[in-house]
Amino acid sequence: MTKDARRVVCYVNQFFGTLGGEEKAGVGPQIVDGAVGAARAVQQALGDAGTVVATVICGDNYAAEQPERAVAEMLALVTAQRPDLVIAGPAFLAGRYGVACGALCAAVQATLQIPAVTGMHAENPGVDLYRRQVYIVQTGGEAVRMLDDARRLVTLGLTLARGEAPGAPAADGYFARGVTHNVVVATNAAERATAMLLDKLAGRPFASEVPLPDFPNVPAPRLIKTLEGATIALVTDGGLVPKGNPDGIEPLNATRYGAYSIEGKAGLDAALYDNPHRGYDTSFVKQDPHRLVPVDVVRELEQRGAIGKLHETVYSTVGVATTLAHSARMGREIAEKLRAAGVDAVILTST
Amino acid sequence: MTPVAVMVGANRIVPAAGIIHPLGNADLSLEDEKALRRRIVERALVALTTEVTRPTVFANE
Repeated sequence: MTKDARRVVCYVNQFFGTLGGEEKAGVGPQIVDGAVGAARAVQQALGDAGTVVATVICGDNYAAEQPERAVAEMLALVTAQRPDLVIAGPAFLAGRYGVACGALCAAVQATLQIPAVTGMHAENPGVDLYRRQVYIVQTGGEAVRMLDDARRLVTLGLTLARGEAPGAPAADGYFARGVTHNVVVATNAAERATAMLLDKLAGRPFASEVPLPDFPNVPAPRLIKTLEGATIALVTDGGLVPKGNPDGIEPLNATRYGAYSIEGKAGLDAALYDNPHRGYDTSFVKQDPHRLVPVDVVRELEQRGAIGKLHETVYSTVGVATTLAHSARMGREIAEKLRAAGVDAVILTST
Repeated sequence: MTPVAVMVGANRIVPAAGIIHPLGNADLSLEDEKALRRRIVERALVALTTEVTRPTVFANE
């Protein structure tokens, strides 16, 4: 090992660690000196630049069925080797393996403060779960080009281990992490936009500098009860909060939401509410919060029997410059709470 | 903002009274404002009981 050579620990599953197939998938984490199985391709790709000092092997079912315990145990094995770099996988299209690779890399980075890279196919569920935290090199679906894939993992891993910044995702072959970097370009935005338009008109390939978020289609559920028997909740992204904003909901780019009781209330008393939203003029909804959250008329509809029940908790956040990721997470969390409370439908008021 | 709601794939969309007061209008009397609010909520209830397969705007009748 030369002076600059890095200590590398690899993680592979039972199959790529040559323990066996599905019959060995329940095997817990173990560590073997040197490079075993697929880790030998990593050693070959490293050449003189580093040494695979040990290979951690763990069965896919063990890792999938008790992920927190499996990651903690693997992390302890990795830590004892004092590595400079961890390379997990590549996992190709193997779902359990890919998720475990992502989880271990994330844990290694967070706990040991050293770089960790993995590789997988675009449709491996580990990609969507961990691409924002972990460098994941894009591989094919199967292990037919193991050495090529290992070389790309190693190249990216060594770049990170040297403390250098990797190139753009497309150039360096890893999944975009949703991070924006400033770069200096020779032509201004108007020139680049014009060039892109000319390419488009001429039918030449072009790439937008502002990739649009991909909004998945969400199937529209049916209301299975009649309105007269349904519990309806009010949710808003317009920023309604009690005075003092007890949950500290951010005025823009929110990451938090609040749950506020309206139990026994015929309406919302303006004196008790505030609004930190910085995306619109909130003076009208501060004057009368019903202009944002219609507790008054929905309570009347409840009393008239037009709906079964108004849910006694209003959920609220601030929807301005909020990332798609945080919006999706907050929406999912709120929906889970509403469902657990027996809510049948939601009216979400938005500004 | 309904075009945005359609673009992001919200399934049942009811146009409201405006960004600064979606369920109100300070220029109306309190009584008229509440009637406006009730009409929007009732349209939302119609939307909730209507089967849709794609983003659908339940526009003013």
